[in-house]
Amino acid sequence: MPEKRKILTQWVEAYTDELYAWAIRKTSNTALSEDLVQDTFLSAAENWEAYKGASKPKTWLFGILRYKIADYYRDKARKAVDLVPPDEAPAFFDRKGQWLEQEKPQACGSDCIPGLVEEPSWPNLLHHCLQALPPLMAQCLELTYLQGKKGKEVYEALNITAANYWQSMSRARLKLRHCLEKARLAPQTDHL
Amino acid sequence: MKAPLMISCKKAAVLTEKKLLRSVTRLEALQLSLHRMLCKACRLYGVQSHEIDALLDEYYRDKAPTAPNQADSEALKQQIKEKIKNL
Repeated sequence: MPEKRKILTQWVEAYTDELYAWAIRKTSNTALSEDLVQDTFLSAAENWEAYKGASKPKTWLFGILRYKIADYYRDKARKAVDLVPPDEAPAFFDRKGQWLEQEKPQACGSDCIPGLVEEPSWPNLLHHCLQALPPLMAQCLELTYLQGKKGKEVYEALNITAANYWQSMSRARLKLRHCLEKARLAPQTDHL
Repeated sequence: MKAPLMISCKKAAVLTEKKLLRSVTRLEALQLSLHRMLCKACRLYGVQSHEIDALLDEYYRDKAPTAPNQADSEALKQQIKEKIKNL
């Protein structure tokens, strides 16, 4: 139907800027945002009959985009869960929630984290440790730090519960600490 | 509902996270400081969390994409219009 194409093309012209900017704010990822905005318009074309003109086109399109973003994260989180069987995750605490002896924070001299920044290679090291995190944890952490540390916005965007988010953040930091400390103690390549 | 004032180290680690992001409730703040008074390991963990936080701040600085530039947005429009034409 040529009419449909004509209207959609007008919408692309009118709303892409805002949709794109909003997607970037929500995901902090330019390439992903482009895909999601394109998918939004393709979905709109596919579900053309569902749009009755009851809402403004902009409202409808933002609704689709919001759904696409949530869907993307849901998919990612599900894969993340599949990737980490719970019994394989290294434990930091015992059954009672006390620190395991080998994970217990120790007072330290130059061999712990503050000394790390002195080394020019620290961003590489941190990068390596971030890569080693399970996907959902990495996602929580990355979005949190990219988006001005507003926890609530992040767990809403990721579509997970607050409790799940705080636990993921806590585990992510524990794992990072573990990885960074190991790397500090063994500055050769065996931690990589 | 009465929440216990004494919490485990595991729970303290989660509250440490909330505190870093300024999301602790008053009760949680109280639980955490009480726990830290009694637990040296968790006091240290609080310090180490701040250190990692500072590293992450530094690492992610300037990594956040800002608003899209107009050229990218125009290119995206053209690309989507092509797709619509070929539907």
